[in-house]
Amino acid sequence: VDTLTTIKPEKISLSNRERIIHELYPQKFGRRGKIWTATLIVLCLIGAFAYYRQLRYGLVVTGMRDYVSWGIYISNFVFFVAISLVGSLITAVLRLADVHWSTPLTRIAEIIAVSAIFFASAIIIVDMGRPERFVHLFMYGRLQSPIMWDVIVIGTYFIISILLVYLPLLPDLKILIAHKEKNTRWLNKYYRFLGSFWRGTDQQFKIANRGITILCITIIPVAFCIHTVTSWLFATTYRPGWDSTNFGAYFISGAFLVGAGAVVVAMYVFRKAYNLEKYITAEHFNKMGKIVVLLALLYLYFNINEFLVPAFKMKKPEEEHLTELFAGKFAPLFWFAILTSMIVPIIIMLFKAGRKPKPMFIAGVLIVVGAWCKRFLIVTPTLLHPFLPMSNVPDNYRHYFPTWEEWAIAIGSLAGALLVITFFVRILPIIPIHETITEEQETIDVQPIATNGTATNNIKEKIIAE
Amino acid sequence: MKRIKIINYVCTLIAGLLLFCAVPRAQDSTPGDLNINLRYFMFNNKISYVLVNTKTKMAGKFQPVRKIGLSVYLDSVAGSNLIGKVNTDTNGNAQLLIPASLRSAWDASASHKFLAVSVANKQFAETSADIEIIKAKIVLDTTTVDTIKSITAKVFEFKDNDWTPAPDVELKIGVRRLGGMLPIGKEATYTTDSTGEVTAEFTKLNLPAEKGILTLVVNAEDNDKYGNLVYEQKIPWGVPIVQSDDWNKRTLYSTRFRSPIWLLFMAYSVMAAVWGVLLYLVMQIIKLRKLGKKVAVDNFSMP
Repeated sequence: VDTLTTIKPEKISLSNRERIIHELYPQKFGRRGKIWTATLIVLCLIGAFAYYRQLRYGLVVTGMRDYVSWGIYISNFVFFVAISLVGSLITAVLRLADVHWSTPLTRIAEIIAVSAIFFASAIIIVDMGRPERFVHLFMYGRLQSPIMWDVIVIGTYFIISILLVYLPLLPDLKILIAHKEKNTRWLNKYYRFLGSFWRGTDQQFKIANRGITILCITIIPVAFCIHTVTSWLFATTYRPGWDSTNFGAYFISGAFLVGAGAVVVAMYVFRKAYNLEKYITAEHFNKMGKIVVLLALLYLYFNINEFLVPAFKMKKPEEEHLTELFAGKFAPLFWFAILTSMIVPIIIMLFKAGRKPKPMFIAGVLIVVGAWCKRFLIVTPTLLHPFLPMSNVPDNYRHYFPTWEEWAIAIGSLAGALLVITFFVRILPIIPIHETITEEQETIDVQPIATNGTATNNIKEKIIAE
Repeated sequence: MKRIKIINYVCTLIAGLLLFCAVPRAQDSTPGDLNINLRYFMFNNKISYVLVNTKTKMAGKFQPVRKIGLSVYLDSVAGSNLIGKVNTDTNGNAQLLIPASLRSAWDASASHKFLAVSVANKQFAETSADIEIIKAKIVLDTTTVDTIKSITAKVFEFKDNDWTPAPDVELKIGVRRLGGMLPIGKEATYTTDSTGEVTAEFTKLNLPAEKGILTLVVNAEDNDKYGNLVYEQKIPWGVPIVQSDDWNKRTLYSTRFRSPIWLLFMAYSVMAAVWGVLLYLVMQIIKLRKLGKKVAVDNFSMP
C-alpha cells in the first residue's frame, strides 16, 4: 500500500499545485466559525463547572444511586469508544484494501477517532467518585478484570490513532512550513516542531509508507479489541440484557455504523464550511452511503439476534427488562433508536437519490443521535432490573433520570470532542494536501494511457517506476 | 317500642355469637391431662440416664409442657431412691443422670424401674409414669478381611449376675453424619441371632471425614426390655478431607498477584507484540528525523 507516493508534487503545474494548497490550506475562523467555537467553549465551561460541583459535593449531585450506578457517563463512554472505531474503518480497512477514493476522508476519520478516544478516557474518570484514585488502576489493578483490559487497550488505541494522524501528516507539514507567510508565528513554530525534519526524500517516504502500513495492520485487531473488551464490561456481568454471547460482534457492528455516520456528517459540514465540493464530491457521499447501508444492515442483523432470541425464550428475569424496552417506559426511546439509527437511514440510503450530500447528512445525524440513545439503552435499563427485586429502598433508587450536572458534563464532553476537531481543522489540513496533489498527478499521467486502451490498473506500477 | 325490640334481638344475637365463638376457644385453650414419657438410655455401656418428656393435648395438638417440676425415682417412690428433681425445658424435656449414691441399688438388680412424679400446679394434678428395663450392653468389634470391612455387634443382658447374649434385639448400625445417622449397609436394621450377635458389612466406602475418622454408631432404639442402648466408636475407615484452599491459588477472582499464568502469558504477549510494534514505529520516526537532519546538512555543505 503506497499511502504517500514518492511522486514529486513539483511535476504538476505550479499553478495547479498552488491552487490545491490554497484551497486545502487551514483557514482562519470566519464569523460562523467563531460563533461555533465560542458555543463549544461555553458548553465545555458549563460542563467543567458541573464537574467542579460533582467534585465538591460528590456523585450525589448525579441521578445515580445504588442500582443505577452507570448512567449517561458510561453511555457516553461507550458512544465515544464506538465512534472512535471509524479511524480503523476508513483509514486502515480502506487503505489496506487499496481503495483510493477515500483519501480525502482519511484525516477526517482519524481526527474523529483521536478526539473520541481521548474523551472516552476522560469521561470514565468523570464517572469515578474519587478521580484522584485513577492512578490506583495502574498501581493496584488486577489483570483479571475486564476494566483493566479496557484501560490497557484504550491507551494503546489512543497512541496508535495519534501515530496514524501524525505519519501521513508529515508531507503536509513540509507544505505548511514552506508557506510561513500564511501562518501565525506560533503556528510556524508548532509546524516546525512537528515536521521540520521532513525533507520528502525517497528514503523518508519509504519509511513513512512502511510505518503507515504497519499501523493500518495493527489498528484493526486493536480496534476490534477495544470494542470487544468494552462489550465484555457488560457481557461478563451476569444481568438481564447483558448476559449475551452476541455482545462483542453487536458492539463492533454498532461502532462501525456510528463511526461511518459521524464521518458522513463531518464530510458534509467541512464540505460546506470550507467549500470543498471539488475534493469531497457527490461520489464520495454515494460510496460512503453504500458502506453505511451495509453497516446498518449488519447492525440490524445483530440487533435482531440480540433481542429476538431472549424475547422468544422470555426467561423470567429477562422478561421484565425486555417488556420495559419493547412496550414499557423505555419503549419510545428504544423504538426511536432502532428507527433512527438503522431503519430510516437504510431506507434513505438504499436509493441513489438518498445518497446525495444533504439526505446523507440527515441520515448521518440520525445515526449518531440514535446511536447515543442506543448506548443509553444498553447501559441503564439493565441496571434497573436486577435479579433480586428492589425492596426497602427510597423511591429515587427505582428510577434514573440524569441531573443537570450529568447533562452538562455529558454535553460538555461531546462539545469538547467537537472542539478538538475544530481546532485541528484550524491548525492542520483536514484533507491531505500532498496526497491530493499526488492524485492529481496520477490523473494527468493516467489519462493518455487510458485513452490508448491500457488498463488503469497500471497506475500504481507507473508511479512506483517514476 | 318496636325499635327497642329489634335492638334487643340484635344484642341477643351478637351475645349468642360471641358465646358460640368463645366456648370452643375456651375449651381449646384448656390443657388436657399431663402426659409423662420416660425413656432410659445407656451410652457406651457407661453412662446411664433417663430422659423425661412432658406434653399435653391443647387445641387438638400435643404441646410440650414447659417448666413443670418432676421427681424421678429408681425402683420405688421413696426419698432414698430419688434420682433427682428437675424442671422441664421449653421443649418439655428433662434429663437426669443416675447419681453415684444409687450405685449400690443399681448394681443390686438386673432390672430396674424408673418412676416420674410431677408436682401438682394450677393446670395439672400430680401425675406419675414409670418404665421398667433390664440392664443390657452392646459390645462392638470391627474386622477387615482383604478389602471387606465388617462390624460385629453383640448385645448382652444382665441375668443371674452375668452377662448373657440377648437374641432378637433390633439394632441400627451406621455412621454419624451431619444431621443424622447413615446406615453402613443396605439394611436399615439388623436383628441379633441366638448368640446375641449381628454382623454387617461396611459398604459406605470413601466417606469423607476429618482425618478419615468416622464415628460408628450402633443403637437399640426404644427396646421394650432394654430401653435405648447406644454405642459409639471411632473408626479410621473414612477418607481424610483435604481442604481445598482456593484463596492462595491463581484464579480469575484472586488478588492481582495471583493472576492465572495463562492470562498473564496471553495478556503480556499481546501487549508486548503491540507495544513492540509501536516502539518500532517511534524508532522509525526518530530515524526520519535523523535522515531529515542529514539531508539538511548535506544540502548546506554542497558548494
